[in-house]
Amino acid sequence: MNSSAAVYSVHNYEIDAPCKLELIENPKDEYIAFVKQEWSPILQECRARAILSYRALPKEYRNNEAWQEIQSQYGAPDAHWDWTKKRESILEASHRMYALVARDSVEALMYLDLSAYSLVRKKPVTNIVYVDYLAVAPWNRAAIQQRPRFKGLGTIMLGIAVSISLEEEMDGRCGLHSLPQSEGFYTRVGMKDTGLIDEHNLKYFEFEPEAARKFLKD
Amino acid sequence: MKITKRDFSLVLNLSKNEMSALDRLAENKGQTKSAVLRQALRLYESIDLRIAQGARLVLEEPDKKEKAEVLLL
Repeated sequence: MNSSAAVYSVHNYEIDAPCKLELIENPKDEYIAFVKQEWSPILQECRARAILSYRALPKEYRNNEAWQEIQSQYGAPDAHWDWTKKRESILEASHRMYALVARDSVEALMYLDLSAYSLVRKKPVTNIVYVDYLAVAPWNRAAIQQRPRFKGLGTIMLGIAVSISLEEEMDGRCGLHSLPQSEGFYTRVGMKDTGLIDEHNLKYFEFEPEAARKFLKD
Repeated sequence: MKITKRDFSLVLNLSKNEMSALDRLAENKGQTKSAVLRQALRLYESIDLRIAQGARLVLEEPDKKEKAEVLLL
């Protein structure tokens, strides 16, 4: 197993006690296999339920907005993400994958691209950390488990992305395309809604330096 | 808390002009020379892979009349 890059103390609501979460950089096979074995079946089941629920809607109510809303209710809009493939696509200097691990249980995963550029500040060309993918384990999602094991892991992961941006002298600048269900979260933490939308209809958010530092401080 | 561990350092031999170019890039970007070189490595790594996969790197002039393919070593 990998050595940890950092350790966080986070409350475990299942056992009602603090728990140590290790941050693992570029997690090895065992962790990715864990995600495939433990996360995927739950997420696929939630997605199947979401599809059934969507199909139960009268035809005139079926549209992208309704589908997004239903996916949000069932908590698995990322069920189709293949973390094994993502790990295989890592470029050593440009990409990094991070896992938050409690003992051997992967509680959150994030994939970063450090070769990206700001879409807010184009002159001079400005490097940013781009958060390609960020997900927490299904049992840490309130939509899936009534009492999530851990809360706030998305915030911790985003904080790690901002910290790396600062370490890489990118002034805390981070960008990401948000799933519709997460747009409110990124707005609340201070990321700028740029108004840009990609080919998958996902909104682009970016942390500017001041907001990034405030987010870390809070 | 430092997330990134850097266990290696490198001695780099540069000409006066190369050093001057690195100085200028670092100043323009407001970064140290180390950060500029790390970013250059990432850029080279990602472009090199895309080209190995068959992609072409093309530079387009602002007026969009002229395009030139960039060849990497």
